[in-house]
Amino acid sequence: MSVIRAENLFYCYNKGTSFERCGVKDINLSIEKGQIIGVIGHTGSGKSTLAQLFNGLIKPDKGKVLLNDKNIWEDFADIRQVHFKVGLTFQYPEHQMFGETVYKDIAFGPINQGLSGQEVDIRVLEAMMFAKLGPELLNRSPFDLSGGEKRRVAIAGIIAMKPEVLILDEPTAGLDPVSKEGILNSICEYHRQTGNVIIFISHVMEDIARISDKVMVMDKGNLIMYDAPENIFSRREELNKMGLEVPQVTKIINKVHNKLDIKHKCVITVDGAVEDIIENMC
Amino acid sequence: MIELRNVSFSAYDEETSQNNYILKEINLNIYKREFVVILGKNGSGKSTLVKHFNGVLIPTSGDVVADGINTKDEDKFCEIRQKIGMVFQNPDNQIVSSVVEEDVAFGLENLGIPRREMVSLVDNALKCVGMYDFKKSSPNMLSGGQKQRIAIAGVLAMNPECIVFDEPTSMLDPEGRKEVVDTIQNLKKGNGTTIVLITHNIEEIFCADRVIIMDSGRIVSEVTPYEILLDKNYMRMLGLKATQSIDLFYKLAGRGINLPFLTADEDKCADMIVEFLEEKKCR
Amino acid sequence: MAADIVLGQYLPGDSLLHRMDPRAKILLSFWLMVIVFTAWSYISLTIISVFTFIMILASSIPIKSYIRNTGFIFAMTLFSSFLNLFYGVGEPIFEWGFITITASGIQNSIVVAARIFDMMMISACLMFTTSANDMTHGLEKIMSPLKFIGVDVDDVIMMITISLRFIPITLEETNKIINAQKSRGADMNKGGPIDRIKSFTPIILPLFASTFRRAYELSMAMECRCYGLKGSRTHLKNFKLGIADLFAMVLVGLIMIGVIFCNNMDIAKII
Repeated sequence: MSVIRAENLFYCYNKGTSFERCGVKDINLSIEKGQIIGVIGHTGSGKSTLAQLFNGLIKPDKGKVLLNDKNIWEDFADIRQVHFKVGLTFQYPEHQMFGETVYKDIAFGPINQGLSGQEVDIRVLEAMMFAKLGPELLNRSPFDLSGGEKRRVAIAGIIAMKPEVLILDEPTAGLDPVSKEGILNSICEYHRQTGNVIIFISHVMEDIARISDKVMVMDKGNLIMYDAPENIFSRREELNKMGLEVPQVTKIINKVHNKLDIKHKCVITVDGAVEDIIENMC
Repeated sequence: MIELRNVSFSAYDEETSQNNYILKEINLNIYKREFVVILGKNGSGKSTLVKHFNGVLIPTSGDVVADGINTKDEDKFCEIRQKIGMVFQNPDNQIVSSVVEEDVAFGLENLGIPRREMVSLVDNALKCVGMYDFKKSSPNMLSGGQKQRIAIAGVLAMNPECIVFDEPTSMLDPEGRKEVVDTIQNLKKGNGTTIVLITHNIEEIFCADRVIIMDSGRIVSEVTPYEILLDKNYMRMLGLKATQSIDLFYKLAGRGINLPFLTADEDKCADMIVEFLEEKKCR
Repeated sequence: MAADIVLGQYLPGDSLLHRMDPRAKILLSFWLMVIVFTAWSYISLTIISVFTFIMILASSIPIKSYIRNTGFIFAMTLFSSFLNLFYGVGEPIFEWGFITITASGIQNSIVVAARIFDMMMISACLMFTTSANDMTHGLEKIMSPLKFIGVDVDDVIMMITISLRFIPITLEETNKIINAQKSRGADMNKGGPIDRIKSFTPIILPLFASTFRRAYELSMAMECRCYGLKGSRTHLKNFKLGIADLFAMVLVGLIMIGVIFCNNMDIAKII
């Protein structure tokens, strides 16, 4: 059963002016239960617009977004419930923090959901656990935390709403490598425990290859490819034309296969590369 | 070019009501035409250190001498900052004007350069970063990488001898990152500018002559870029992320396959594997 | 997208008016408005109105844009001139119940309407054909003599320049913060006035935080590029008076003479 489905989705900015530009054009896709979907595309390719359409922040000009087979815009008054069900973290989410304490910031979503005090407490602690934030941070001001911790607090604020779908828009951008790795691991851990659909927008192909079950490739508002990562990254030339790269191991193994005249096989992880080299030894 | 003698820097911490040392007794020389990379975890004092180079920060104790001028000499602040330019992380927050060429001219206007000379200096700086075609554009219309190149041009127009880059690519997408890295390398080759680069990105350290490693306010060692790769401890200590080619090297070694050398470059890595497989192949 | 926000009312083009020196444009527009207020006869008002119309044509901006952008004030003008109709003194021309219309009332309403209309069109013309940046630099040059009486023109202009650059960025940022809080269920149209004010905290606070962060980083970058360290700044932007500017000055001069001359003529003089 599909959790999110898009049918003929269109969305344009600045409608009716000479600046009109379509962020998303005729998108049809379906995301199955339990998957991690990687989304790649050049800056301005419509990735973030698509995320906002899924979350119900913007209303499509044409077409439908279906959440559990129900059109999210069917009942206008219900759109707030969609925000809770499809959690979305924006780029640099720590720039949107306002709480005096970590607790207050994370609790903002659950309180808006109308939960009781006790339930909110549980939600906050749970979310902090997922985001690997120690309970000692509860009463600290989020502005005193390190960059990586701030990002975690911001993501925890979304997880605390217990969304059925979690959309992360470049969750690791602008962080140092250690924090990046930590957040990526938390995302995988969260997925393992909850089994929720995760939509992961990123520019780092190595990360996309590592964690996604399926990858969407966006270009100029169109969905160009939607397939397993091995199949996506084997279309290197097409990706290059859109200004996208493939993981470094893919390039290495591609080159090895080319030089040795071995039949192409797409390798996207380091472990895969090791196996491939050993296989070709003798 | 820049000489730091016993530089310490402390800031008053309200919570613990005592002076916190951010830099401790740093001795460092940066030579003309050198490309130096500074590595270190967040909070190790890298940014604080480089802000001493052009007198934005003044050491609590010790001296910083930039091109013969002590940064404590208030009369020469302008001269020091003209000689040592600085480019920061967020491209948006260093562009002043809504027209590209006027922003590039900003530093020159501050220096009081006559208009006649300004025009050619601005044009040259823009050509140098490959943004001449955008001189009349608004920065709001440009991509992150392009904006960062405008910021570089703004510093470059002042004809500095040294440019300090404080994580210039961390907020950019891969394409923007490549543009900026290429621009920095061109500066080194073309203009012979001294370059100091703070980065977390392992791919960016290989054009360096020297890598300085900082930890909790001290310089802990000075190495070549290649030495960083060889020592896994460095990578861990600095919180660097290995490229997949490096991971591959170690994982192959774990399976008894030893490639001749470590590299972050995919082509070199592929060549080594090809060579290895050709030897092994039963033909 | 910051790129999509256009500040001011500037409509790009390449007309005679677009190419004029902003200094000349600003000063002449100002002067024209003064003339509008000194026009005391129908003939002088007509001269100025005709000239305004020629300006609109010369800007090669569709009249539609003028109407759209000034529509509200235009309606207000008509309304106020309509009111003027009933407040004249002298011999009534028309009487019905408590409504009396006199010749001076009619004259007043025509004069008020014509003056406000002309002024609006002159300023719209200036706004439409001058970019915010040119306007700033034009003002900078015009105001530069104020330096001698101790006004720091450079700093004021720098503030305007920086605002011009950061207003679109801040608007975009605000939009993003609103969206982010909305997606966490923030509801800004609920409850009484206090609830509503409270519900803006999640937007105002991050906005302040980010604005201060930007200001800090920008001032650092400006300091690194020697801002404020040397006494006098020079300027890249340079304006040259062209033939169009001279032509415009002569025209405005002629209009002024015409208006003064017609003001003193007896015929069609406004009472």
